[in-house]
Amino acid sequence: MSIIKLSNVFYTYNKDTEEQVHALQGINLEIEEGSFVALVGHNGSGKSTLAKLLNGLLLPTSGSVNIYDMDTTNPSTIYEIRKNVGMVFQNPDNQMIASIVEDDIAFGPENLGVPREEIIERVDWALSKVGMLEHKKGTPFKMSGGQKQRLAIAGVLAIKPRVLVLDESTAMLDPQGRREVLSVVKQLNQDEKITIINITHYMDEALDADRLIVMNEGKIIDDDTPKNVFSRYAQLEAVKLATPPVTGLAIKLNQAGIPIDTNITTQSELVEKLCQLL
Amino acid sequence: MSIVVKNLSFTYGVGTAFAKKALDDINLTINDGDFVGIIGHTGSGKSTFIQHINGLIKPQEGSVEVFDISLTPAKKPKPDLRKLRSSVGMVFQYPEYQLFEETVYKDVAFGPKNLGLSAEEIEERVKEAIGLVGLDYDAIKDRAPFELSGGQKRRVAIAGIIAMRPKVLILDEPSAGLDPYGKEQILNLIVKLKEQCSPTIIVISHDIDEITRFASRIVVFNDSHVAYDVPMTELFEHQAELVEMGLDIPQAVKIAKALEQKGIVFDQPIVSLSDLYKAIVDRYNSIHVDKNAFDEEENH
Repeated sequence: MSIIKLSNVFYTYNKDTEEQVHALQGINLEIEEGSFVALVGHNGSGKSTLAKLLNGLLLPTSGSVNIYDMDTTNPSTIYEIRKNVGMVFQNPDNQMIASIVEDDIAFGPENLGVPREEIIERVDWALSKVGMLEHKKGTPFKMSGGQKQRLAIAGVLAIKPRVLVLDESTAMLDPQGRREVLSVVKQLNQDEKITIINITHYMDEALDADRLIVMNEGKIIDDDTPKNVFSRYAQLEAVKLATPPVTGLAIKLNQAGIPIDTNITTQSELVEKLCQLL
Repeated sequence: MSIVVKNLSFTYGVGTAFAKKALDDINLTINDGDFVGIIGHTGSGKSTFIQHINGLIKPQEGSVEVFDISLTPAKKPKPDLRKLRSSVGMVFQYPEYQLFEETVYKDVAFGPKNLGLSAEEIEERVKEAIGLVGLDYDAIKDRAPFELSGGQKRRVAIAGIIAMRPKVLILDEPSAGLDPYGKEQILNLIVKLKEQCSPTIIVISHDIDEITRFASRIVVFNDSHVAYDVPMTELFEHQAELVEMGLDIPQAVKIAKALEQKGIVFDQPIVSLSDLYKAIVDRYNSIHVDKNAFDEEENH
């Protein structure tokens, strides 16, 4: 069942001024419940604008955005939408509000008027989901980027969303932090069936998704399985994007006259193929 | 020799409950013309280390010598920090957050101005620096830095540093947070700067694949120590140690090791993806050329 439905969505920044920017130009998109979607595009392609439309932080200039059949322009259901669509942003330091971990996680449900007993339950549940329960009484400020970003996810989880949107949430992390966050996100998708929309610059992260959407100049230019999208590498290069490193190597080898498929995405596929050739 | 670091140790928050040793007896020499990549976990001491090199942190123990300037725990004589900072340029993480002037020109001119240069000299340097980072001087000089794209802002911030014409350039995570295209441009820029501006370059990065593309020497920080310091071509031999420290292994090394296990061993050292590409193409061609020659012989 599609739970997110965008119909002919346009969004313009600084509308009716000289500096107007057409960030989204006719987006049509449906996302199924429980899916894991990656969204890529170079800076300025419109992907963050799209993310902000998903929980009504921005409202479409024209067209409509429906989340669980609720229109984001309807003020009476906007809080219901925001409860369902949680967002995690790029900079972990900008998303911490309390000096003690459990207070930080409790902030969301407190604002929703959740009863105290249930808040305590939710805090423990959210922290255990991101592997941070032992830090419940600790302070976020001394933590690594990966830990902080996992707390940011826990803070969102405590609101019990059905959709989690990650807007370049791993961009500021070191490789270890990235791995931590990604494994948490994958677990949430598998165990809790939370729908994931991961906006990223890392093409290898896109490989984890079951669907990859490519944006350029405010439009969706490709929408398929990651493997199929990467096989159309010329199109990606044309919009200043790259393939994952393994695919990139296979393509170069193919261009050098070595008979190797260009839709290889994993190391083991590549090694297996090379063993037959070398 | 540009930089000689001897027995350098540093602890944050000395005498408090939060005291944390960041550097423990570091000895390291950086030679003129070195292209050094530094890797290590967050908290391994690499940022603390580079901040010592241009005098942002004063050594607690040991010494740092940069050209003829000596930094030690002693209060006197006072080192000439202005001179030090004009010879060692530092580009921090997310340098675009440090842009502050109304125009790109003023922002890039800030450093040279503080060096007390004449107006003509400043203009010449600003022009040169903006050109070097690949931006169009006339088109961009009067624009506000804040209306530029992320990649452009970062290049303006780098221009502000190279306008000082530093002999040593240090970049901390220069490509972090950029999209693939912006990343590519910054990496190419670093190679160009090495040739045309600063002969000695030190780059900190979390992305080991990025470092294998240009550095000729790799220094690995782990737990406040230099775990090892080797020419890039020897990195292949240190795979197990990297894994043990929980650091990433270059993609090319991973593939080459996997091929090795299947009996395909290359003669040349493999560190970067372009090394691997060349090795595979050579091997493929030698097998097939030999085979063709053999087939032809058979036919005769």
